[in-house]
Amino acid sequence: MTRQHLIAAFATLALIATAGPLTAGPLTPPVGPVAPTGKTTQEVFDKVAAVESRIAINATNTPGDADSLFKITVPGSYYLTGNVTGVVGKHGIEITAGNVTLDLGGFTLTGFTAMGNFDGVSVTTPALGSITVLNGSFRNWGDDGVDLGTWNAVNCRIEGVHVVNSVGNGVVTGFGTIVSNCSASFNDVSGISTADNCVVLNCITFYNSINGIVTGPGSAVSYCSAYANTVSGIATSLGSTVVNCSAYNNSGGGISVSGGCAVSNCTAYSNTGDGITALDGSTVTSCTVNNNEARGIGAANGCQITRCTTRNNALDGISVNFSSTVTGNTCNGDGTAAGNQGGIRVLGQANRIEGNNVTYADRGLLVDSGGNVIIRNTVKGCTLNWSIVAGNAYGAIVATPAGAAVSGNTAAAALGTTDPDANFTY
Amino acid sequence: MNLKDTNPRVKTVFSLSTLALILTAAALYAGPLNPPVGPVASTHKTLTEVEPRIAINATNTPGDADSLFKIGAPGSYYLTGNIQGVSGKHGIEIAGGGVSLDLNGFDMVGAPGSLDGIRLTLSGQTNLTVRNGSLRLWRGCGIDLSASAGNVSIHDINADSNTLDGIRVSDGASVVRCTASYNGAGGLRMSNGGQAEGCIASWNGTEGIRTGDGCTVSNCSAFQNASDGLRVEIGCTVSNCSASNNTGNGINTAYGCTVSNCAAFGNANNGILCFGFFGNGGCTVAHCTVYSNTGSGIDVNFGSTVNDCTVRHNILDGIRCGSQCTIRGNTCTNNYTGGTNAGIHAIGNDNRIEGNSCTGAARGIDVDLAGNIIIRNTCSGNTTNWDVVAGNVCLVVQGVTGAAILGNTGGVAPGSTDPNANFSY
Repeated sequence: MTRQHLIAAFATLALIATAGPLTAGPLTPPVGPVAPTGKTTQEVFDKVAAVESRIAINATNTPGDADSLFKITVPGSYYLTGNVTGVVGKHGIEITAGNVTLDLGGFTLTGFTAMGNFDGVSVTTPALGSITVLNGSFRNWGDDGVDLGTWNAVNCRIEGVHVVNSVGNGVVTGFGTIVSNCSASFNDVSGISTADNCVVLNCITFYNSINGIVTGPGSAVSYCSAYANTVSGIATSLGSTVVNCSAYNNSGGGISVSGGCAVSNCTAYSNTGDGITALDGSTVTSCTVNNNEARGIGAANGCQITRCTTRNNALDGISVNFSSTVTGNTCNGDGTAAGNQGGIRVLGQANRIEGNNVTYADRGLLVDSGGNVIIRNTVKGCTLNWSIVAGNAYGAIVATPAGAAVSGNTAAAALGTTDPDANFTY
Repeated sequence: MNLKDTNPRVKTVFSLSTLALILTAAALYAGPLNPPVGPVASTHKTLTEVEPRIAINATNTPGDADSLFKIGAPGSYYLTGNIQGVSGKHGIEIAGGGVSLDLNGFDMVGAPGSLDGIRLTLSGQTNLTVRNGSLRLWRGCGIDLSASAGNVSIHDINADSNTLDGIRVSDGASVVRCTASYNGAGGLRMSNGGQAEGCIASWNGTEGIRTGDGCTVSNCSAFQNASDGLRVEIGCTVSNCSASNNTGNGINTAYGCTVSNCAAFGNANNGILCFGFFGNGGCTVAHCTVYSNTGSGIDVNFGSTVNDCTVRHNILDGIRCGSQCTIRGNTCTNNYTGGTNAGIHAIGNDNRIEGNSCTGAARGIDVDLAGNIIIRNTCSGNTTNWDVVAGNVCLVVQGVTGAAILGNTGGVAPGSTDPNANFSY
């Protein structure tokens, strides 16, 4: 071996020796037996439990019984960890304690038609209260999606719940419950059914087999939509308010309220029954009621219908019975069905009909009974503009002359009368 | 080995092998030689990163002599379980501002001798939020943040069966989607400038919802409370609310308030009572339905306006006004249980009563003092349609019933062409 050869050999050896330390990791293992360096499953569970202190719905924490998959028996905060599939003869989650919050976690509870009359979530004990169900979906349950009402659990909250295809109602509540930001559709009974004194806010119901929303007395329904339900879109009982709601294409009436209710700023369109039906002592204000297949607004006794718009309703645009006030409404093209229909129709006595504008209806103003006062209305273009039986007090009905063109600052009166209470045909 | 004497092919193989070895060694180089700056740290999320909020427990928020748990620093806190109260202590004491407390759906239950469920004990604090849970059976209030100086939000809370108020908050508080029932005092008690939205108050020992000045109350229901359903002070707005079957008034306001689109039903006193003060003005009551109350339907005073309301089946007067009020466009029916109660009853002067319809009462329109103007009203079917003392501006005409009309013209003036005539018919 020459000197050059030796230099080349040492250089090669040096390179190899240098490359050796560049490899990753020591060659000497740590002292002791081999052990995993990651977290154990229990450690992970413990960490999660420390973060999620609520009680998970499962067979360990909330075991079911003969009629429930899961059962909550103690007050507290519970949450779903996955979807739930129903079985024959059992509720999804049964609740037998008050002061329970059940967060569905965005999951879906799914039943099926043949499972029997069992609910997705069901309160099965009387005299409970303060139960909250939120944030999840229900479908295909054999009875109601959420039933807090059969045993009248009071002062509850249902928030962000969506129910479809229940054999019963979508949501049922007891007294004094808040239902907000929910939807209920294709249920075989009603979408949302509440007991007395409830608040229904920002909800949507459609294609339910009875009512979209039905409440007990003293309830407040606002910012809701009811579409294509088989009976009424929205139905409330005594002393309730319905505000800023829409009822569209329901097979019964759009909005139906019992006595002493206030309906305002609502829209009822293309319902098979009346657009709005109001019983004794109710107020209907600033509503728009079009294209319904029965009456636009049908009011009973002692009601007030003010500043509403009706159009193209098949029967009467506005109909009242006794002792009501119909003021400042605009009725156009109502009475498209056969027979005598009125833009405004008065069936009974002691009504005040004032300042309305009725156009292109079958009968403009149709008064079937004596004992009413009729002033300051205007009617145009109806098949028969005025049809009033004897025995009413009314301002002279004057056919206005055709006025000359006006260009400038002044013109002669062209009304035909200066009677302030006159009614006009124009 | 003498490479010089070696076969050239062997030389070539030797050289290539050496080169391959060098290249292989180079390929074994694993990553950069310069480590990242700073100490070695794990790459997984920490527990704090997963849940940055602070759990309420004996370690993080230890209580003191009068509290089970005490929050003394700003931050976001949450419950990890139900809380069972003990005698002489609040459930959670808050002693600072900038606190968000999520009850996480849990239930806070008081015990005999306990204090409030949640209580702010350091006055003047701001930016407080409590949400999502229930409080019951506390011997004080469910929640008492009345010591705050403002910016309080309470939402999605159930407060029931507490000895004092269900929820009590200070100025500028927002209370949303809460229920308060069976509390020994009021359901929801607010101070000035607050907002209650979508709440229900029922079966409470005093008022269902009571506010201070300048509050808004909307989309709420108050029923079966042992005093007024809703009681608000000066300059408040109440809209879209239902008040029924309360022992006091359905809705009771001080002066300068607006009540609209509300229903008051079956209350043991007045349906809506707006108590104006001379010199401070009255209230506006619009588009309300007031039905079957034991007192008057609507009772207003100095400088109030009542318009487009429906008032029916109340035991006393349908609408009762003091002085300087405008009562316009209302429908008052069947407010009659004997006596001399009226559809509209003005007991003062300087009122304008216009365009109302009154039927089925003992008196249609009853005016006790002089100095009012009564125009364009209609009365029918009352025991006495008009009972107006001398000294008022009022023309009443018996409406002339006309013949039947079929077509475009017909009839005569209903007894008068005076544009301000009132009619009996």
